[in-house]
Amino acid sequence: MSKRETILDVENLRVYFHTKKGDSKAVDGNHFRMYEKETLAIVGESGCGKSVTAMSILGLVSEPGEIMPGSKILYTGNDYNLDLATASIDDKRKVRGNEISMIFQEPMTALNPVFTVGDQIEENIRIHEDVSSEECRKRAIELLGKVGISRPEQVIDNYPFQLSGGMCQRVMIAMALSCNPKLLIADEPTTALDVTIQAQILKLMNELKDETGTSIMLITHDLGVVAQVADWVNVMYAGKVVESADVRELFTNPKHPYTLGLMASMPSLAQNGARLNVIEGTVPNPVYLPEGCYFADRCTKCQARCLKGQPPVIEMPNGHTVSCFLYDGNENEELDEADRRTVAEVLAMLNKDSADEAFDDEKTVIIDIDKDQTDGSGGDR
Amino acid sequence: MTDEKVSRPMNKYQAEAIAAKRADEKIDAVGPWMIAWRKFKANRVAMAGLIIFLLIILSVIFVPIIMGIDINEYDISQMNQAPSAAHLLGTDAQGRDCMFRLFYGGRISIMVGVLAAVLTVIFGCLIGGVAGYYGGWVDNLLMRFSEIVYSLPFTPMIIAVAATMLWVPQQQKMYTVAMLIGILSWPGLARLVRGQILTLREQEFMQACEALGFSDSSKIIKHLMPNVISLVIVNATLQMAGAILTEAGLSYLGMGIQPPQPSWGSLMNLGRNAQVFQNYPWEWVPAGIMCLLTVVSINLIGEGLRDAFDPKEIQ
Amino acid sequence: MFKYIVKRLLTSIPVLLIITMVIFGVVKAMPGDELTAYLGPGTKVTQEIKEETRAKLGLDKSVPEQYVRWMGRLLSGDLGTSFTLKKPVGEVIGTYVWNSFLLNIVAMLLGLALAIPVGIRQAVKKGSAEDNFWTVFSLLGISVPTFFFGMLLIYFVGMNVSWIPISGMRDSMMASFGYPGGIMQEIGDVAVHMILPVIVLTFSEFATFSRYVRNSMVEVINQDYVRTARAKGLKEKTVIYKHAFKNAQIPLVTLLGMYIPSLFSGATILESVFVWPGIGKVLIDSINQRDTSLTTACLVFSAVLMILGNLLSDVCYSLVDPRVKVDG
Repeated sequence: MSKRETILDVENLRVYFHTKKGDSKAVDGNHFRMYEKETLAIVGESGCGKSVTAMSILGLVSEPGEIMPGSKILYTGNDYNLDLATASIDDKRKVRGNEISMIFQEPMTALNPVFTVGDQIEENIRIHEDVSSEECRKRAIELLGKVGISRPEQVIDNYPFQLSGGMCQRVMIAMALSCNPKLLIADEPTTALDVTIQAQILKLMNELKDETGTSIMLITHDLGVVAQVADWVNVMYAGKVVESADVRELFTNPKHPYTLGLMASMPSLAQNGARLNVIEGTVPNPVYLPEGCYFADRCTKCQARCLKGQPPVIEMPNGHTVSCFLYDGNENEELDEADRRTVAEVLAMLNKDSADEAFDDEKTVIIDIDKDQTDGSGGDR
Repeated sequence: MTDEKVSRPMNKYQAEAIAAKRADEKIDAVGPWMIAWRKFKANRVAMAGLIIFLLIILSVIFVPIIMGIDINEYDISQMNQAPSAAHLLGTDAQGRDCMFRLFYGGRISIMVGVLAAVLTVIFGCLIGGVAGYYGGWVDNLLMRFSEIVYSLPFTPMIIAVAATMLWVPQQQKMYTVAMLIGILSWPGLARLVRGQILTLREQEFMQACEALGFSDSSKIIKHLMPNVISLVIVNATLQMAGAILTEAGLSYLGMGIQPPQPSWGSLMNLGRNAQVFQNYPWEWVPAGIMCLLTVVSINLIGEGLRDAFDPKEIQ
Repeated sequence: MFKYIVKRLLTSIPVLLIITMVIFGVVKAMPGDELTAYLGPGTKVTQEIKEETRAKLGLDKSVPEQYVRWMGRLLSGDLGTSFTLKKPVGEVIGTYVWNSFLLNIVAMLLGLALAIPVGIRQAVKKGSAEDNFWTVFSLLGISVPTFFFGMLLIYFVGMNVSWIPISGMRDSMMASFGYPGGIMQEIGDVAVHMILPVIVLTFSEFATFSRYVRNSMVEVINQDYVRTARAKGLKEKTVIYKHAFKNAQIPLVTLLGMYIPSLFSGATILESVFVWPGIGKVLIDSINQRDTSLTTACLVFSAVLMILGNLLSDVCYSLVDPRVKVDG
C-alpha cells in the first residue's frame, strides 16, 4: 500500500443539540480519519448520528445544534488547512462546495425548484472561481455530460421538477464535482432511488473517484452499498463509532454485536435457509442515554459489566477497532436458561409500586403497543 | 418497541437495560393533546394572550354585576362628566356611567364574536365536510355555492346587508349581526375542511372503515373530524377575532348594535359626534382599547394554537 | 395562458350573474322609500308628479322586472344616475376609484417594503425575542379596528400638529379655486392629506404582509435546497434572499395578485373616518342616503374586483412557480 495522505482527521467530535429537555447528544466523541483517494463508509441506522457527523464537517449544523468545544475536524486540503470545528464562517465558506462538497439524500428536494439546473451548477462554479459566464455554462454542460446525462445542452435549461430522481442525483453530483473537490460527502445518495438507478449512481461515483482522485465519505445504512464502493468502514451507533475496519476485514470478521446484527439482517449475507434476523428495538433517544453501553438493550450477548460503563476501544490487527466489552479480555458469562428473564419481571423488581402504573400509562403512548399486553400482568406465555 | 419483548424471556442483563430505557422514555410518552398543551404553555406570547383574554372575560362578567347599576339608569344632571372617583371612566351624554357601559357592552361584543365563530364553524364544517366526503355533483354544487359567497366583497356586503336589517329590534340585534357575519364567513373554512377531507379519505384507514362497513355519517364524524379538529379550533379562534372587529365596524357606522344598547362598536360610534370626539374622549377611547386588547389576545391565542398543533414545530 | 384566462372569465359569468341578483335584492330590501330619496327629503310635490317619477324610475314594476331592466341597461353600459351627486354612476365611480387607488397603492407599497425585510428577519431568527416582538406588533396591526386607530391619530396627532390635515383629500379653498402653485402644490397638498390615512393603512398592510412573509419563509428555510445552497459556500445573505426567498415569494405573489384589484375598491370604513373621497366612502354615503343605483354599482364593482383578484392570483402563481403550468 502506498503512503496514505490524511486529508481529514476528526477527533473527539461531539455535536449536541440543546433542547428544553436537555442536551441531545447526536454525535458523542467521534474519531476517524480519511485518506486521499479512499472511500470511507459510515454505516448505521437512522438517528445514529451519521448525517450530523457529515453536516458538522461542512459546518452546516444549525441551531439548536452545537459542535462542542474540544472537537477537532482537521482538514488538510490543497489550498486550505483548517480546523473546521473552530474555523470562521468565511473560511468554511471558501472550502464548502469548493474543496469539500456534498450530495444529499433526496435529490428532488435538494435542488432548488425555482432555478434551472444550469443556474444551480453555474452558481457553484462562479462563487469559487473567477470565470466568464460562457465558460461557466460550457463547464456545466461538460459536467452534465460527464455524469452520464444525455443531451446536456437541453437538460441545463430544465427545472428540477422536469427531471427524474436519478437525473436529479446526477445533477447533484455534477454540481458537487464542479470545482474538483478533494472530499465528496455523499449522504445516503442512493436511498431515495430505484434499485437499478442505485447501481448506476454507485458505478458513476466509483468511476469519478478513480478519474478525479476525490476522497468520498459515503453515509449509508445499506451494507450492500458499502460492499460495492467502500475502502474502509465505520459502523456508528448512537453517536459513536462502534467498529472500524477495512471493508474486507469487516465483512469477513465482524466483531461488534451491532455489526453482526446488521449483517444478519441483510438478505444477501444471511445464511441460506436461516431466518432473516432483525435487531429488535430502536436507537436510544439521544437525550436519555444510559450509563452503560448504548447498545445493551438490543444486545443478546449483554453482560453485567455492559450496564456499568462505556465500553473500551479494543485494537485488533490491521487497524480494526471495536468498542465492546465482549473483547476486553474479561471472561464472558454464558447465559443459560436459568438466567433468562422478562422485562416485565425486571420492571416489577425495580419498582414494585410503579410497575402497574407504568403499564397503564402506556396505553396513551404514541409508540404502538398492543393493548392486551399492557394490562400489567406481564406474565409469561 | 413492541411489547412482545416485555413478556418474552431473554438475557437478563439485556432485560435490565430495556427496563431502564423504558423508564427514561416514559417521560416523553404523552398523547397529542398533551403535547399541544405543553407547546402552548411554553409559548410565552400565547400564554400572555390567554391570560389577558381570561381577565377580559372575567371583567365583562363581573364588573357590571359588582357595580350593580341598571342598564337603563341615567342621570341628566351628571351628563358628560370627566372621570372621577364616583365614575371612574366618566359619564356620557345621558349621564350614564361609562365604565358600566364599557364592560356591559363588552359582553355583547364578545357574544357576537362567539356566536359568529360558532356559526362559521358549523356552516364551514358541514358544507366543507359534505362536499369533501361525497364528492361528485354534491361537491360541485356546494363548491359553486361557496365560490359565490366567497366572491361577495365582505365589508361592503356586510354593511349593505346590515343596512337592510335596521328594523330588527334592539334586543335581537346582536343575533342578527352574528348571523350575518357567520353567513358571509364560512367559505374559507369550508374549503379548508374539504381539502383536508379529500386528502384524508385517500388514506388507508378510511379504506379500512369502508371494509368494516361503517355508515357514512359515523365515518365522517368519528374518523375524519378528529383529524380536522385542530384546523377548526385554530380557524374558529381567528374567526372570533375577526367577528368582533366586524361588529365594531358595523356598529361604529351605526348599522350594527345601536345606542342605547352598548357594544364596543356602538360606544366608538359616539366618537363620530365632533363634540364628543374632541371634548369627551373617555366616552369612546376605552371601548376601542378594550376591543383592541380582546382581539389581540384572541389572535395571540390563535397563533399559539396553530403552532401548538403543528407537528412540524418542535418544542 | 390566454386560453386559460378566457376560460376562467367565462366560467365566472354565471357566478357574477347570481351575485348581481343577490346585490340587487339586498339593495332593494333596504328600508326607506327610494322615491323620497330621489326627490329629496322634505320636497313637496303633487301625487301626480310622484306617480310620474315612480314610473320613470321603473319603481312601479316588481323587483325581478326591475332587475331585468337594470341588467339590460348595465349591459349597454349605463349604470344609472346617482340621485345625490346628480351625475352618472359610471362617472362617479370613474373619479372616486382613483382616490381609493392612490391611498391603497401607497399604503401597500410602503407596507410591503417594510414587511419583507422584517418578515425574513423573523423567520431567520424564529423564536427569538425579536421575532416575538414583531409577531405581537403585527398582530396589533391586524387586531386594531382601523377606524379606531384613525380616530386616535386624529385625536392625538391631527389636533396637535396643525400642518397635518385630519380629513379630506385637498385643501377646500384651493380645491375650489385652483392651486396658485400649480401641479407641484397640488401634489404636496394631497400628500399631506394622505399622511394620517396612509399611516393607518400601512400599519395594517404591514401586519398582514409581514405575517405572510414570515410564515412562508419559515416553511422554506429548513428545506433541503436551502441546505444545499449553504453547502455550496454561498454567503448567508445570498442563501436567504436568493434561494429561500425566491421560493417564499410564491405564496406572497399569489396574495398580491389577489390584492391588486381590491386596491380600487377602497378601505370602506377608514375612508369615512378621514372623509377621503374614495369608493368606500361613496358606498357608505349612498347607503345612508338611499342612493340605490350608486350602492348597487359600488357593490357590483367590488364583486367584479374580487373575482378578478381570484383569477389574477392564480395567474400570478403560474408565473412565479415554474412547476405550475396552466392550460385552457
